[in-house]
This record gives sequence, structure tokens and C-alpha cells, in this order.
Amino acid sequence: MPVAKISAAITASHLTFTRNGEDVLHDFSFTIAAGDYVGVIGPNGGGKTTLLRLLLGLLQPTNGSITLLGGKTTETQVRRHVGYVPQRGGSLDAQFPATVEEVVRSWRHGAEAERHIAEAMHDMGIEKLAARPMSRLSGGERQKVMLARAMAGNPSILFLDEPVDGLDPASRDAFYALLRTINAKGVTIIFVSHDVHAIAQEASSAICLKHQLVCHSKKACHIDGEELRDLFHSDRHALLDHHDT
Amino acid sequence: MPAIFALEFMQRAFAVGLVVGIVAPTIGIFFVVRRYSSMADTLAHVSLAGIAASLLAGTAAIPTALVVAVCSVLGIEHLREKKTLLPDTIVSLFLFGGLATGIVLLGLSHGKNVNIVNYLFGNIVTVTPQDAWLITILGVIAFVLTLVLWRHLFAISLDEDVAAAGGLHVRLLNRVLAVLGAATIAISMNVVGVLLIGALMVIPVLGAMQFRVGFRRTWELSLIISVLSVVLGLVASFYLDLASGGTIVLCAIGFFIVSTFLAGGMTKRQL
Repeated sequence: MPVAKISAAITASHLTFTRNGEDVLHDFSFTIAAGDYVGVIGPNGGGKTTLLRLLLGLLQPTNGSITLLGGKTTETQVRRHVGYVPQRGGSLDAQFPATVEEVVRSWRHGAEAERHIAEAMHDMGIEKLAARPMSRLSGGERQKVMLARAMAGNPSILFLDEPVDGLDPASRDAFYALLRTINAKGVTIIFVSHDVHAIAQEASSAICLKHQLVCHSKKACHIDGEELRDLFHSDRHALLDHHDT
Repeated sequence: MPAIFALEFMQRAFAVGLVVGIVAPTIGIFFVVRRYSSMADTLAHVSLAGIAASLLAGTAAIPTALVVAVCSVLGIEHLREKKTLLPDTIVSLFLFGGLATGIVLLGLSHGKNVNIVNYLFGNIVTVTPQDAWLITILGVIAFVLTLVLWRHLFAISLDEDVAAAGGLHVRLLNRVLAVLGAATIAISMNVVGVLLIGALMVIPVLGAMQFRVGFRRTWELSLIISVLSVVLGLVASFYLDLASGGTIVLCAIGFFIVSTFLAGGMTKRQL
């Protein structure tokens, strides 16, 4: 699959998702370029996670279409180029009996997979934790393992859902530094957050979401106060003042 | 040679017991880590309806129980995916529905001269040569299929969404795992009985999990606990004239308690 030749990593067209008769997402379109670093921001219940699940192919849109790397989200070939870091480590139970290496390896095998697994563990700095059970990791270490698992598939697009939720400031900074390194290698990053600061500081562009597209800014730090008031019904735009350029 | 190994029915009991002792925790570990432990009980109760149906229809018990369990487990998976009912509700419906159907059918088959107690509580020494072959063939198929799909079943147990996003066929794998669970139940009926089947799938795994090691290591430990429980349980039941199914499960519980103490001691030494 000639992923590298595709300029648009994601194209969403007239996307609508209805649950129990109500529009969670209503008729919006956007394009994300390959190699972009996009923050998806919005209030709780605004449809951020639903959008992420639609892009991952875990939900199907009621109306509209999504193209991922030139193909449909349901195609296995497309999904093999996708990495996903779920919120708070996903459904992985703290008592789940697995070592760090087993989680990173997950279902992958073969010579090429071994190389990517070793590379991902090296890049995340968790090589020394390889044999440690997941139940004996700190929150920051667990998130690095989740990121390594996503990167072990050598993805072209990396999706993250509130990846630093519950982490202390030092762990957050370390995690964001890893994401910057990954993006510098050409991986498209889409990360969902309700943290306006993080989006403004880390992402190169932003999608502001509240059931419909409030804005799609080419520069995340250019989200204006009006848009944030629309999103959060508050003066949280003040949070961004010192980031405006 | 000790008397216990010279008797043909005991040789058969050990052979069948070892097959079940290996297969039960191999499938059971996926049920435990996914918090599906109650599913094993549900399938066991549904199997009772299968046994009762086999008495009425005059068919072989294990294949009939297998067919009923597979149909039920596919129904459970279908309803679980539709998400219109809570998972607990679905499992309860099938558990009590299976038990009720079994009781009604057993009532209708009154006078068929079959000792239902053997199926309820297990009596491994009554396993016929035909049953032994069927259990061995089904057990080997289930074991090999699980090993082939090991990485994929592990991945969907870790996180279904991550596995699906990465291109795995989660729906199909869930169904395969459910059918493997149904097969395990069907071949374990004679060994520990319908009422205790879930125990052999769950308790050895719980014992192994006390050591807080990796997934593969946990599985290996659970195999040791399970096989030792079956062997010790059979020997004890033979010499002490005890019910084989209950004795095997009591041995497994004993190993669970020992594992808890051993693992606790190891943790203290590490601190």
C-alpha cells in the first residue's frame, strides 16, 4: 500500500453520527494532511471520542464518509497502518497478568514485527521494563507501554484519546516529548483532549468540536476566544492568551 | 504396579483427566482475564439442557451437549454485540433458561434409566472407551486451535478496541473463543460434572495469577496446578472412596490457597 504517496491522511465528508435519535456529530467535513499533528478539542460529551471511534472504524457513520490513507476505515490493509492509544490504558485491567514485552508485542510476530517492537521499546525507553508485570508499573510507565504497543505496528497514523489523563506534570511533559519525536518521523498524530493548553502547545492544528465543527484551525495556537466560548460556554479563552501569536 | 494404575477404567480416567486438565485452563485463562468466569457456569447449565435433550432423543450426551452449548454461546455473543441488554442480564437469561429447560426435559425423560447424578457431579470412572476417544479428539482440536490463535486471543483479551483498530477480526475471534469454551465444557462433563466445570477452568488460573507473572508464565503455572489437581484428586477419590469431581476441585482450591501463601512470601522477600 503506497501510504507515503498519499497527501491526505484523513478525509471526512458530511459526517453525521446519530445515537438514540440524537445527532452526536452533525454534518461536518475536514481533511487532515499526512504528517500533521492535530488536536481534537471540545467539551465533555461534545463528540470527541465518537469522532475518534469513527476514524478508527470502531463505529460507522450514520451519514457521510471517511477515507483513511486513501481507503475505507473498515479495510484491514488500512487498519494495519493505524496505531491507537486508548484513554487511561483502555480496558486493560491493572491485575491483567502480562509483562511489558507481551503487551507491546500483542499479536504481532515475524522478523519485521520484531524489529519494530524492539525499536518502539527503545524509543519509549522501556527496554529495561520488558519482563516487568504491568501491575507493577506507574501511570506514566503504563502510558509509555501503550504508546509503544501502538508504535510497534509501525503506523502511519497514530490516534490517542486523552493520553495524559491522570499523569503528573513531569510524566505529561515526557509523554508529549515522545509524541513530538514520533511526529518528526512523519507519523500523522490525532489526539483528543479537553486540555486547551496542551492542544495549543503541542498540536500544529486543531479541530474544535461540539456536536458539529466549531472550527478547524490550521494553527492550534490560533483558536480564538469566540470559538472557545462557543465550545465551553466560559471565558476559558484567557487560558490561551499567552500562546497567541 | 499400584492397583490404581492396573485397572482399565482408572487408566481411562487418568487419560481423560489429563486431557481436560490441560484444555480447561488453556481456554479458561482467556475467560478469567476477560472477566467471563460466569460464562463457564452459564455454558455448564446450558449443557445440562443438552444432556437432558440427549436422554429424550436417545443421542450421545457429549455431542448433543456440545451442539446446544455452541448454539447458546453464539446466541450470547450475538446479544452481547447488539448491546441492547446488559451483559449480566444476557448471561443470567441463558443460565436460568438452560437450567429450567434441563429440569423440564429431565422430568419428561423420567424412567430412561440414566444416572443424571454422574453428569451433575461428575464420575470420571464411568467414562466409556468411546467417550474417552471423543473427549481426546475434541480436546486436542481445542488445544491446537487455541495455540494457533494464541496471540490474537491474547490481543482481544488485552483490549478489543485496540485489536480491532489494528485490523484484527475481533467479532470472529470472540465467537471462536466462545465455541472453544463450549467445547471445553462438553468434554469436562464426565470429569468434574456440570455443576463444577467452571471451577476447573477458573481456579487453576486464579492460583497462577497470584504469582503476578506474565501471561504465558501464568498459563504454564495454571497447567501445572490443573494437572496436579486432576491427578491428586483421582488418586484421593480412588483410595478414600470419594466423588471424583468434587475431590479434583477441592485439590484445585487447595493449590490456590498454597499459591496465595507462596506468592505472598515471594513478594515479601522482594520488598
